[in-house]
Amino acid sequence: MDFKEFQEDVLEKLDNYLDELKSQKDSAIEVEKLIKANPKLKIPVPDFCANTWSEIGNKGQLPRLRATIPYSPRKDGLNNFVPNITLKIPTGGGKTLLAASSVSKVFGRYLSSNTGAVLWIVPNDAIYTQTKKQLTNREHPFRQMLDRAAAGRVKVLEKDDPLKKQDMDTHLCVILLMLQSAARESKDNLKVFKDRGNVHGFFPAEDDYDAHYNILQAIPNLTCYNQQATVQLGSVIHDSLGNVLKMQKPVVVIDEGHKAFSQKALDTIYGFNPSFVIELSATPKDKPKEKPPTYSNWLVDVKGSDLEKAQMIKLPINLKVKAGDDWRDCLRESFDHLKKLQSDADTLLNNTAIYIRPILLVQVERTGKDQRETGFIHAEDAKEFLMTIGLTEREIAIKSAMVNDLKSPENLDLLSPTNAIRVIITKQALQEGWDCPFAYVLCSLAASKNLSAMTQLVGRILRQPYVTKTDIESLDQCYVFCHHANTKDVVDGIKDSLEKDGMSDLVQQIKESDFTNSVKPTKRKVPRRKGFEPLKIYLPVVNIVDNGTVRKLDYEQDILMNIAWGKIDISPLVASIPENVTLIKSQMTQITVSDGKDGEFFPTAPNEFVDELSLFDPVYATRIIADIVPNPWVARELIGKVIDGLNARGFDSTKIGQLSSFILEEMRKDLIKQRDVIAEQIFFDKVATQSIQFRLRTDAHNWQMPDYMWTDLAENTPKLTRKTGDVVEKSLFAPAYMPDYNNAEDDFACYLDEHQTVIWWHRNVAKSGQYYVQGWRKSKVYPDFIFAVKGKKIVVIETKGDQLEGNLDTKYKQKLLTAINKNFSVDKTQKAGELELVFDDQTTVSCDMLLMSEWQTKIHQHI
Amino acid sequence: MNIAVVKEKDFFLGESSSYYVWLIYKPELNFLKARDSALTLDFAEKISKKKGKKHLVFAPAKFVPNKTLLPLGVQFAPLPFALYRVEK
Repeated sequence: MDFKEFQEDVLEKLDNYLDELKSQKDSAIEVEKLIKANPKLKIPVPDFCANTWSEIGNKGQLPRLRATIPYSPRKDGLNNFVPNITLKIPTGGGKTLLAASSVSKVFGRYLSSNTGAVLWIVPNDAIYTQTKKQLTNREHPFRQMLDRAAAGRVKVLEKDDPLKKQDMDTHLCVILLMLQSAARESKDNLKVFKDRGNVHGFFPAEDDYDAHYNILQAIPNLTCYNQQATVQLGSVIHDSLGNVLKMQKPVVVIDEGHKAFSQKALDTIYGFNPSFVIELSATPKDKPKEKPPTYSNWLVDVKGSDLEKAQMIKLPINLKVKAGDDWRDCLRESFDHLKKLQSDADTLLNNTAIYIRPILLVQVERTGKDQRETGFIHAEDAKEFLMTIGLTEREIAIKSAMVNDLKSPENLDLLSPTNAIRVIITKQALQEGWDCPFAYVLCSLAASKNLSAMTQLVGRILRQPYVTKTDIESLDQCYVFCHHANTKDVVDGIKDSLEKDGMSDLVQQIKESDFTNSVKPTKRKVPRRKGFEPLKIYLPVVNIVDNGTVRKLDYEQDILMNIAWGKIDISPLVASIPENVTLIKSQMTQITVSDGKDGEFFPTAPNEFVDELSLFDPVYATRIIADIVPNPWVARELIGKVIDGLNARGFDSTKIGQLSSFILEEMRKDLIKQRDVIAEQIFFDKVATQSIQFRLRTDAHNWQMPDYMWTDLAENTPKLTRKTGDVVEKSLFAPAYMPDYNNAEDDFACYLDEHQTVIWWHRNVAKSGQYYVQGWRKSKVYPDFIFAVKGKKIVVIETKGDQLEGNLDTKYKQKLLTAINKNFSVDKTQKAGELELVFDDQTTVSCDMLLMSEWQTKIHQHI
Repeated sequence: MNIAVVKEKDFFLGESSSYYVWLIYKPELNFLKARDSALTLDFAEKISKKKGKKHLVFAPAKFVPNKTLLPLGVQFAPLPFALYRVEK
């Protein structure tokens, strides 16, 4: 395996360091000998690690960026100095390869041995499995690197494997450990430190107290039975992995070293009495505020631009932010792009036999089983749409906390040509350590709501397949499609994440607490506030009344079914398609990395793409609009009309082919617009004929406020407080927890809480079981607040951020709420046998939508 | 498939080990484009009276939410895409 230039550089620096370290250590040993021979001499043993550091610093071999940071010494459990270095390498920079070759060098150049112990600490399951696979495979270059150091005698062990002294004496034993096994709050109950039956030959027989005493005197930090503050005769050393390590003085490799930087973790790791510690991290940590301050000792600083030069990452990142509400169109465009990449990959395979199967990552808003139909984009919705546009079930994998299609045997190796996966749908379940070089396109349908999770996923598509550019431009870059977000925010988010992580993934999001507290949050009930328990609260819903039967309005049944697609006029669409093909290049933003000469490490530039020539495929086009036009024969007819119209305008098939993506995008927009106009008409016609009603009914066809809410927040979660610092007093369900509210909602809730006329208020969320209003669009409107005012009035308020003023969704909600508000009444008709609810004639319900900036001036109309 | 059990007028195609299979289809383009060719609540309610197995309905479109179909034991397979998928 060839090293990349920057990797050679890293190893050269390591060589220099090790040579210096060895010579410094030799002098320290000489001094030690001198002291032993002349116990009266009052000279200290030099700190050979610090001396080495200052020597190589003087030679100018340390990263310039860290010139002002002092060397931070570490000591083992026996109070000896331990040489420790940090290799700052972005994820994707071949950390494991460098770790394996560093180990090999430490043994060869510094320890001058080819047997002994290596403790290899990894942060999580994914990296554990991956590292184990690589190190146990004799064919793998990483393993071969170790084999070279140990002359072919390498043993890879897990924490429960039998340990024999003989192995340790004749082999290089690599012991793989997950961070949580090595460092947890209380280490007493860790398996690593437990006495067990399969540790052989390291310690004397149990009854040989003298031998135990001698060993304990040499290594006082071994754990033992009858442990005393000072070493005493009669203590028997545990036959544990921890003790073996302490005795063997292992070389320790810490993958993602910044995760093992808590004092507890450092204490445990250095408590193994290591002879050398190598930390690898994309974002090494420092603790400057601690006394004494602890820093990572960076030996090398590999930058993103080094990786780019070495062809290891796909750059630039091409970003396209799609405006509008149509997430399906964003997904369609991502999939279209994937198809283009696939055809480039096919060409590549034909010409060079290099196999790449570009994969699309789709980030959705919800993946939970019960979270569909709540107005959020759900994994199943995305899957359904992708299947409609031509993918098969085998080609789509969902990866969530509950579902993991990637674990099925046929999906395990994503790089295998027999693997069918082309799309992976996730919310945020792709952890660090998961990366697939074939992932080329990220389609984020949740960017507007969860930008940080999106930028994390960008790291997942950066790695270049086979660590070599293909020379096909499209296959050397990666692509991000975002729906409904602000371009600037997305660009800033991506830049930020690249900067923060040294071009790596967003490891900071996964905090250390994640593994110390692995207990899943459990749901619990939040009851009604005292005094409101028996209160029955009803709200009118949008009902359809047909021949005396009453049921909730259903979009598909009552609106969509009545749309007369024959009325759709496609001639304006046909006329709007421009003749000048060159105008229709799609614009993308490119983000790349540079060496920062011009003061910018991540230059951003707009870039134009010309779509590949292809023929217009009417069947594919039919599938593309199938989610808008429910009947494929009708859809096909509409497509036919568009083609005929364009033909009549003189477009030939080549031109239509060139414009294919643009036509489909425009057609989707146009169809959605026309469909919604017709749907609105149907809705208002039915309102006029009173077949759609918004009435508080005495026959139970209302929505009823539940008796309790569910929460998965902990009981000690901070409660929502007024500005005075007092906990809110009028929320219908108590307590109300702070994390459930954003700033603007928090202000609004507190205003209501402090207002004298308000009796109770409730924060309504878009979740099944909560109050919603169905209109002429598929998505339901879940108003944000419901509150009761003295005088038997219930007010339903939807709040909107100012930036959304005037946007189509906002206009729709405003129109819908105004319409139902105008049509509210109390209906006393009731069928025999149905439960009769009793209302006061005075009861009123009013609905409104308020912008965040104006609610303070407008809310008085309601209270 | 047993041709004898097909009831063209009712769009009943036959039964498999786990489904009663229905096919709303006529070889007329106008029918296929019309609302009558869709799986509706009425149709779903009607066929759900036939008990014993779940129902699989092939139709050009559907105008009932899955939430309503589920308790009726009715599953929808879109024409013609569902057929393509089987072919693959």
